[in-house]
Amino acid sequence: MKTPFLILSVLVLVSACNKRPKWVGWKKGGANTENGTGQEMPTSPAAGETGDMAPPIPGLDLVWKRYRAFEHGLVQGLALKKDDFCLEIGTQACIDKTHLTVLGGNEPYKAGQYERAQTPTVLTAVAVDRVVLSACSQRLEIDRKAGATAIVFKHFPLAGSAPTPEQVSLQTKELYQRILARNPEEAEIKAIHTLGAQGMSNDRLALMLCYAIASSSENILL
Amino acid sequence: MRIPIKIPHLIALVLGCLPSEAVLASASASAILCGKYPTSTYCDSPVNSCKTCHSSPPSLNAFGEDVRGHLMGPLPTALDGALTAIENDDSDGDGVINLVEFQQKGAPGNSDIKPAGAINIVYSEATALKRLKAIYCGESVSFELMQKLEAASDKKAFLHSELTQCLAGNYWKKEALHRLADKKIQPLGAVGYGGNVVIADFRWDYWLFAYIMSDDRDARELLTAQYHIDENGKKVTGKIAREELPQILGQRIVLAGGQPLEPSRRAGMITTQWFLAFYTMFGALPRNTASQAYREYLGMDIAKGEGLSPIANEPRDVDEKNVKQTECVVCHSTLDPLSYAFSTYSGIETSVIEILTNATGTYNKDRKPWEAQGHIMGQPVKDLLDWADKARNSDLFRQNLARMMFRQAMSRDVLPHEQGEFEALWKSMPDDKYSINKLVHRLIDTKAFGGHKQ
Repeated sequence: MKTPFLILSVLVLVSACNKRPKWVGWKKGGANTENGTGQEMPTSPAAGETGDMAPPIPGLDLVWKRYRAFEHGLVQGLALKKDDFCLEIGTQACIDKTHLTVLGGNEPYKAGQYERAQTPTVLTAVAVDRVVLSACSQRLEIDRKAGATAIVFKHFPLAGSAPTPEQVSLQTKELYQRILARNPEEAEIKAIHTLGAQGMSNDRLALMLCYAIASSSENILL
Repeated sequence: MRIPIKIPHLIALVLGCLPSEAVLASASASAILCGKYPTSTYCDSPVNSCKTCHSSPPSLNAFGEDVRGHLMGPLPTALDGALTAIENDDSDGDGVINLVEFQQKGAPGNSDIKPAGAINIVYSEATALKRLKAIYCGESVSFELMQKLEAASDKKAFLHSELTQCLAGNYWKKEALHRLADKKIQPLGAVGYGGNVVIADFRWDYWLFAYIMSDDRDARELLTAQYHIDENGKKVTGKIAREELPQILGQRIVLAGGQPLEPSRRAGMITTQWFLAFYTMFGALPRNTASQAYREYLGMDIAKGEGLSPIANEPRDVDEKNVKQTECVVCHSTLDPLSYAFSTYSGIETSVIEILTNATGTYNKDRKPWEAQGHIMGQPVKDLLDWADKARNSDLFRQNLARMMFRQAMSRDVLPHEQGEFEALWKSMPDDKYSINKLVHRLIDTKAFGGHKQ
């Protein structure tokens, strides 16, 4: 499972590197066309070069659900144990150690990080994916062993004949309530049914449902 | 093993020698500009006013460049004319002329900030609940809680009830408030308690900060507390003995520990042993200590040209650091007088006797003769307690606290259309007896916190 993530990470980074940083507010004027495109090039740096993000549009900004609340949502929603629901290489805590910084935390004592990141970084999505997949996978395995007493993945069998649309809807509702604290909308259930029609095994479908819902932007940005 | 003792000194030297012209411009021009356009976006506080012309001092933004291009003489006399001359220009090329940017909460040097026009933002209790649970409880909302909110007859009361629980909880008191203190304390494990070379124990700083910032206590005690809080949350009023015995030879070196400063000389967070050891170190004149206190508790970063209020005939260069150079005077005419009150508090003490007596961070009236020659915000101060008293009762202190809590919640600065709400926040602090809990309760009621565009 690690190789695709590595490839994805590299692609994302390469993609990011290909984009020149935006120098907001380069002073206009001065017909310098050294870039060969005929476009005017700036003559002096101006506002924005501190790396600050452009300010959000009034009323449309969102608040980042940082590491602890993100962790709590998965642990509470999927009924997992905080201490071991996600460990990189089986030993390193995903939230408090490996992915702390990109999930919005900071470690001051040893790493000397006295401030947290202001906004999610390019690696935040990768970390969210890994943590969510770990949490969903662990719940899936627990419920597989639990059988009839499963807590989360209980609306269709994890092996055997394909689930009915009704079963998929119930499982979707269960996950929406547990992770996003609301009921799914009709359009969302339809989209889930599309996923269900792709012929994947039952346990893979259950995992993908969990992954798709828990890694959605609604679970990261409030 | 080397102690990283030189870095703060180097930083202080670098700060002292920033290019002076632009910084001087910030110091004097802000007052002129904000006198001419008092309601403009960045004139809400001295911290912000530099942003009108500077992207990051000393760099000018597009508007600042235009101003410079239209100056017909020295800044103090020519700035007003230059501003008038470019009122109908569009310096940042965003389609809005400079005068309109000033009048309608835009920013003439930043094309990303334009007058927003009429903004219809509505408050959403559901959004506010999700945010407050994440920020103050470290939790995600549950489906059941959202259902309770939906059913509540008084949704605002429901939010405040939830917030009260969060602010009394362990996440807020033992994690979130500690992270809020990181930048003020700047711990360094290698030289803190249990480290290889112990210059002080920064745990006391975290315990004191979290105590004062919680449970409706008066946040001004950040600069006046003459007590400490132990790891069990109990108040300790006398001197506190070191946790580890001194060690000079061997693999570990333990120079200090506890809180040896006599209580009558304490001024809260800025006189802990860690603060004085880490920032003063071996400095005769503790410039680094003063500038950190000024930055973290009044929001004024001298390195960015903020909070400059030059004192006549300063700097006198009392410790012979060559700060009378033209390039240095612009900052040191504020910084040196700001630092004098700290000069009777010991930094790291390294003689055997001083190590044995735990002298780091203690008061010594004979350490240097400059204590009573200091100034803060242009006012003379007789000692550090006076310094702290003037600081804690200033608008800058209130603004800084409110801004800190706003940023902690929203992960961003106050937007131009939110300045009214922000001003109400910091101005409410005396009525609320400087309770951070009450400030946060007010904060979650703002449209900045729970609003979204309709």
